[in-house]
Amino acid sequence: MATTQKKYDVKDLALADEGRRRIAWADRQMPVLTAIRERFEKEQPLAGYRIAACLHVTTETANLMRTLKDGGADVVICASNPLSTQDDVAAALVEEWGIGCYAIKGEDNDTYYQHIEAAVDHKPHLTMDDGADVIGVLHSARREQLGDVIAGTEETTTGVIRLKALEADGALGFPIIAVNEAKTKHLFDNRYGTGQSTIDGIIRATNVLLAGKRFVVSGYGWVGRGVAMRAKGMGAHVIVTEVDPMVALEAVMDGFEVMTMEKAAEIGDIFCTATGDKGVIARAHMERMKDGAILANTGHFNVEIEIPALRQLAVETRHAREFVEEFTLANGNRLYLLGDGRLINLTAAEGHPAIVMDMSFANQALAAEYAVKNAATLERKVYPVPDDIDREIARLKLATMGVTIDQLTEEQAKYLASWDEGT
Amino acid sequence: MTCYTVQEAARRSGWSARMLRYLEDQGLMRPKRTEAGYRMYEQRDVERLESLRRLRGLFRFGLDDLAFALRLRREPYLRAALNAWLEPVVEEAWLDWEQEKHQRLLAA
Repeated sequence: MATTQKKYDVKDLALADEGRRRIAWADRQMPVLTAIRERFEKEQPLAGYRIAACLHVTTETANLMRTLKDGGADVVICASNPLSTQDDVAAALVEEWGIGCYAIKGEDNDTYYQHIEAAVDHKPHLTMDDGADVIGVLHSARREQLGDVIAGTEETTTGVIRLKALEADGALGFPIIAVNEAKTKHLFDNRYGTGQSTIDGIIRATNVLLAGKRFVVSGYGWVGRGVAMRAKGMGAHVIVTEVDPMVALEAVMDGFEVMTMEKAAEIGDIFCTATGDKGVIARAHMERMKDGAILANTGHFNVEIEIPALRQLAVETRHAREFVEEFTLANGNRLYLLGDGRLINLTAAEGHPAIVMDMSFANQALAAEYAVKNAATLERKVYPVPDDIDREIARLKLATMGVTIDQLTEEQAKYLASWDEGT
Repeated sequence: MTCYTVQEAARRSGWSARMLRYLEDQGLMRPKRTEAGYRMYEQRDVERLESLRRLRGLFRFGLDDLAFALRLRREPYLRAALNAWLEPVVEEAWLDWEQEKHQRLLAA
């Protein structure tokens, strides 16, 4: 190995068998991606293209990698987080599917960056990122390779924000498709996936009965909607806080009570932040809260609830039970913070089931195919996933669920078209 | 079948005779006994002893760790309890990493 470049770097190839079993299990929950894989195998839309992916190396991701490979691509993958890598999956990718995988759980930062470099060494035509890592290396140390890249996909909101900043500066080296903006991703990932797992996390952490409680949801975005809808379904009286008048109006018309956090703080039993911003529940709010109020976050890491303020306010803190910390304030009220303010759906529950990732990764696979087909017309911009892909994924999803829908008659289509034309 | 005494097995595998007895006390090796009660190491035992030396060098663990690994395999409740206890540590570590990465991205 001293003279030739290593084609993979994983913990232990002997783990491949276990990885293969778990990947197959996840695959059974990913029917849309399976359907795409079957078509890719026949049509070979990615034949001759090299792909470098930097994603969480998990069973679900492995099924995306298989799909790209079956579509004819020459694929390598490295980890987007050195601590989320599943070593058995990494081994199976190499051993079973011959995919170059550079990921070892717990690898140090140097190794982590070397692994990203190794993925870039693959000289990709397409990149796939979860936090702009490969794109980052290509825009700094490997600018000479920018010209080889047809397009890249980005999975996260923060990654897209960064890439849009690059685009605004005229510094974006190749077209990007923002996968996280697809409706079929939002709908499943945020509304249904995070919506369910957030409620699951709150209940697992506290064993609280939601029925009859005043449940305050901060932020009526996709996650907030999912949480609000489910809490209502379980009998809670749901209150929404918002900053956008249009979105707030929607929450009102959906049947939720909308008010300021200042007012909600006084009456809420359970608080759940889902805004993506910081300081949503601040010191002044905590001081107004009722005895026994529960505080959880499912939005942006652990900055939505001002935890330092809570610690300052407390005259006494106590570990109440797993994932629950009790803060006694000077007025004698006790507040309960769940999971240290981290994403409660990942801390106390299990995050997304494979069936949710099915939709996200179906978007990734079809975005790759789209990029290759439209290479000639794509500019150095950040693009949303085209509507056609969203519709195709929705169609496949319905088919896997055995749901059939009506078709427009020729006459109806014509009638609608005439309206579209403005006549 | 070729069999070795404690001394011979120790010499061939590179362990001390005392360590071989320790491994047996901990339930990690079970050499057969002659009718007179002397330990009898087979070729397979010597090979396991050699591979243990390799593994120990590779992963740097003590024999106490190995004894505990055996307990983890044998005692499902112990295994489940420790997994549950370790879970938040594992989860938090990757979440912290993710948070730091995304904050760096926004700051860039």
